[in-house]
Amino acid sequence: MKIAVLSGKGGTGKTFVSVNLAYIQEQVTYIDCDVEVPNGHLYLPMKEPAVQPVYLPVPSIEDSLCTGCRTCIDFCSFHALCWTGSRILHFEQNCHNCGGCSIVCPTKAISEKPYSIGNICTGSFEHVGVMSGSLNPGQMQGCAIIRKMIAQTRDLKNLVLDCPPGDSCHVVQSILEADLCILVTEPTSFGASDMRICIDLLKLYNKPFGIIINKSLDTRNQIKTFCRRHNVKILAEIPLQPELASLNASGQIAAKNPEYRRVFERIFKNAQALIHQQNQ
Amino acid sequence: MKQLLILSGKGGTGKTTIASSFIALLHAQQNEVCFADCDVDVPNLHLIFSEKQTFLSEEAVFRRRAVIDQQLCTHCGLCDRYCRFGAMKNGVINSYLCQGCGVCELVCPVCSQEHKAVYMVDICSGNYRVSATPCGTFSTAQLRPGAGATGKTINTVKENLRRFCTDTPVAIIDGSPGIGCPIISSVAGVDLVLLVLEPSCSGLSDLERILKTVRQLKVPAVGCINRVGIAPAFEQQLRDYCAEQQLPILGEIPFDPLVIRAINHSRPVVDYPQSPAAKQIALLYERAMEYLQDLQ
Amino acid sequence: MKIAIPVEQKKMDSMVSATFGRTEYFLLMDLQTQEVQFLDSPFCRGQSAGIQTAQLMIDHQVGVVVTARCGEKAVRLLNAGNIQIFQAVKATAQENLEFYRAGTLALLQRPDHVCIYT
Repeated sequence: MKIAVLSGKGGTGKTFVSVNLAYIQEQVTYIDCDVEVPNGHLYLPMKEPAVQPVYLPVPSIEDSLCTGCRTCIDFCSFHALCWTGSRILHFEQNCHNCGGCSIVCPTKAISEKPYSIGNICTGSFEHVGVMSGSLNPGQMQGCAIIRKMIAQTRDLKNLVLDCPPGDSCHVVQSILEADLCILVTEPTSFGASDMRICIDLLKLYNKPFGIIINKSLDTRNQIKTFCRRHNVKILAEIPLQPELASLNASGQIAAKNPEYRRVFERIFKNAQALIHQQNQ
Repeated sequence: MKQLLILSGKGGTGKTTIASSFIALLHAQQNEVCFADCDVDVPNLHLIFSEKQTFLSEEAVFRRRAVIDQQLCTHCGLCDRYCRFGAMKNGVINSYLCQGCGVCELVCPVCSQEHKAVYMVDICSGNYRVSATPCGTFSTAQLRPGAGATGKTINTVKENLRRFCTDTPVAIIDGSPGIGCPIISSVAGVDLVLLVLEPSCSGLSDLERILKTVRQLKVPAVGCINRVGIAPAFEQQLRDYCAEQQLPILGEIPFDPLVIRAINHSRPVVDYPQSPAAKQIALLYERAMEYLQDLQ
Repeated sequence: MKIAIPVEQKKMDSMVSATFGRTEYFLLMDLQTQEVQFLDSPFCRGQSAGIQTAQLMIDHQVGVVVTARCGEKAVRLLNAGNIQIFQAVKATAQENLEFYRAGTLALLQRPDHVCIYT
């Protein structure tokens, strides 16, 4: 089963849920799709990980073939190409690596060369396969790294995809091939508001999903009310506990403790039941 | 107008909580306040300042996207082959992955009098909003789920603030988590970045990345540590790291359950003067404003 | 050779704009003929204002820009186009022209923030 863990609001406990949900499974790969600020590798440190750089193509202009017609500049939607008066100048930070300029150049003056935007680390922690993507600070094409990680793990049966916060294209890319999505929220007005936005996104993609209410304080909260009203399944409610918070802050796997392990086994069982229900 | 941007790298560290209190304190001191929420994908600042908002301006956000005219399309699959963003699959466009590059339209072999079978349009993906609130002028954007904030979206939210509040001395900008394009656009042109730090292994790791990003953009930064009291070992690691990186820590805010109550009542924390967190946020505010004024 | 100054209004005694990329107008003066024209800069509310404005300078055969500030990318393009960038003083365009002719303007020391728009 491929499970994507998202939240909308940051800091609700996506990584906490993801790493522990992965840990309790026998055969699974954890993928850290939060390539801007990855954290999963702190909980599941890989022994001798394989590091592969991720390259994106950027245009390389052969000045001797360039006639200054500026067809490439007119085509580029991102203002990544300019004319200096004598040659074409390329701005890597604006470039979306679409390849359009090299297609459109009438004299074939533009070819492509690789440009490194980050890397993917692959390895394992105990019995868990781990894949962690990292975007170099200053770069912007995080989606390309996520796409690559998903392509490389497409044939695997069991995945836990730890998504970035929000509902941007990074999140869309991460949930696209998931069988089930788990929305981790917190019982605050911020958490509820952001959760509703993500539910709209999940419905748009027809993704089966369930909620985990993390850092729960009171027996009654607005998340539960919402879920009851809208027939949304709550997979678990995890109370706010200082020991758990401290454990998590220090990068430890809570599921190594039998009491917390049971919590995640229950979540996994509920997730399986949800999928089973969907399929009927 | 001097702009203070509140960032963190890691999500959920308390940016909006601190921003809303700063806005309330600023309003109590001076009448002219303006603020912006640049976390436009999942905005929260409006939840604190939701009462008595009157719209001053509402404008559509447009994104360039590919669309397919199914009547013309011959399913040759060329657009699918050339799209580098996975936005074109089996003749169906995923408009949330589409980046509007125009390559699909370029390579499409089928053309009618008006357009090719695949052609580019400007799609409305939300609204920019500027409103007057009891606390001051508020600029933000509201996007459709999955639309995603771009650098341009963030820049326009900030531009709108400048347009409506040219004479306001200080603007507070609530940022988003991460280090990518929207964050880079948020940082561009601000006078000071306040990083909200979380004492945890993730918080430390993310601080390294956001600090690198902010420093690349050559904007001065200061920090504050939030939720002190849960993981003392990491609080010290943060202090040591900040000292090493010459990032001044202007304040430390204790973990305080009253904060959650304040949020759930749509109030800034400083509305609860007995709260330990409120006291430290007020101190942090004074130091941050002083730092901002002293900058050349 | 032309000199360009971003201005708030289309007049010689207009104050110099606080920005380069987001200015609404430019004053252009041909240093040989002394002919003055005003240019509309349509990029103030759009994407990549700095780069596009710098391109506008290149396309109008500007040799010198006098500006209060300028972003890194605009500077990169102006430099590549062999355009000199001088630091404007907080005064009118007319006064800055006089300072330039008198040789008392300094070159822009450092470009400021990187702006990225997508």
